[in-house]
Amino acid sequence: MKEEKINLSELEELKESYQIMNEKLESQEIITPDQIRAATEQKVEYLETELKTILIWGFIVAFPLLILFFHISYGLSTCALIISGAYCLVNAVVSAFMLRRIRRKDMAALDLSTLMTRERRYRKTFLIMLVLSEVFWVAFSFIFMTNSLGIIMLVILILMTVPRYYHSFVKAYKEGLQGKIEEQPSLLGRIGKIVGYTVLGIMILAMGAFAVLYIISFFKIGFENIEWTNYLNLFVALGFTISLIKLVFETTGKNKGHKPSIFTIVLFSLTILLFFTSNIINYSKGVFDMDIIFMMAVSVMLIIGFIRRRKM
Amino acid sequence: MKDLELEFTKMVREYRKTIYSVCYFFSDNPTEVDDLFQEVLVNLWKGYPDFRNESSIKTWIWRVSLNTCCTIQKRDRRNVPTVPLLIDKDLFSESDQAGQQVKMLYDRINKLEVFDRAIILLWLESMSYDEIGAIVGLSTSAVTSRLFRIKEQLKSMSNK
Repeated sequence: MKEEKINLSELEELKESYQIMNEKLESQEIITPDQIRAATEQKVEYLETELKTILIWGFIVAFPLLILFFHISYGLSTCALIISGAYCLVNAVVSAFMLRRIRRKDMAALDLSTLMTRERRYRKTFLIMLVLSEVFWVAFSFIFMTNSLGIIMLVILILMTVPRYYHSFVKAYKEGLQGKIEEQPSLLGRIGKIVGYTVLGIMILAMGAFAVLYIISFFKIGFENIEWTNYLNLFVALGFTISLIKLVFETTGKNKGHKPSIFTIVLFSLTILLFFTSNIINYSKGVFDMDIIFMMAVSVMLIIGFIRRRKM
Repeated sequence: MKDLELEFTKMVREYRKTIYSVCYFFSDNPTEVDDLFQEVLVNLWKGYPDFRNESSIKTWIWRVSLNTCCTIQKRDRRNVPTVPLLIDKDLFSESDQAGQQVKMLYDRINKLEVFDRAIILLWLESMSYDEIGAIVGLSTSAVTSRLFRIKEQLKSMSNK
């Protein structure tokens, strides 16, 4: 009984603290009329620019250019052109719809739990769209272009996927039941999370294995027989692996943020730069094919995507 | 348009404490509070022309503020344009007893899940269970049981 009384008074204390906070805030101006106007205008402008940037650069400029490049390099058939055109169109429409919906709609009309359920549904749809997109591009490369390009595409998409999925998985993990109205997550939800983490783990392990195998191959061939540009590639593989591992620690560490640090971004960018250098040298030595140019183009997109994701 | 803007400005000024409190409890740092505050402003401004007085303005502002803070994605705010708010950054410093009490309140509420944080803030605001339910989309009985659980959680935090 006594303990209950103490507890109740503690809750009262919380109310009292809240009261104190309100009293303190009473004396503060917080925002002036001019600031209200400036802040609202600035924010609306920023959000709209952000949306337009994604749509215009992503779907109206980047994708068609990429397809045009494929067409020039690989001579895409009419069927492939139609399919890729349809893909771009569908993607642009769905993205435009989703980006607009997620942003501001029904912010005041809906209650909190409905809004959060919708938000989760949109995020899930977005991830599904991403997976479908990746499957599409890999299949497209294998069917309409060369097998080697298909494999390169697969690797690149895995690399692009890791940070994006990783963010979502960590967020889901950290939030736990946050915002969920159910007392317990559904069985399917739990399975989804386990599968998510497993996929992520496999991706990181695969990257790590790639780097280790690369190093082993050096010993096998003998260092004297290795071109010095291959050493650059070794650093590329290590750079990718380290930046991935760092990304994992940064976003799961107890006191760390959700975002990759500047160090990881720099490391990742340097790795890409190294990758460019290595390939440019190869090109100057006459070792060249169109895949390299393609990989370079995608690498640039990867950097931009990585940095943009950090800004979001 | 000008009248609407004036009305809106007046309303924001009047409820600035409410908006600030919500943003304060849903953020990790002062810059984030400024940014969240502006996100709420945008949503209020966008919804203001459609506000039909079906609920009280206070409920509406609570709803929009909580909806914004609960659903906004965490992001890097360094590149987002933000107008710094006119508030003493040391307002809730722990130098005096009042500041310590506010800090204790912040620490405890911050440990709760986002949805529970919204409910307890409405409870602290002395809203009725019906009003809380209408804002968060739960029945009155569900609010009662949920609040009971949250209070238990808060009590266990104080026992630690």
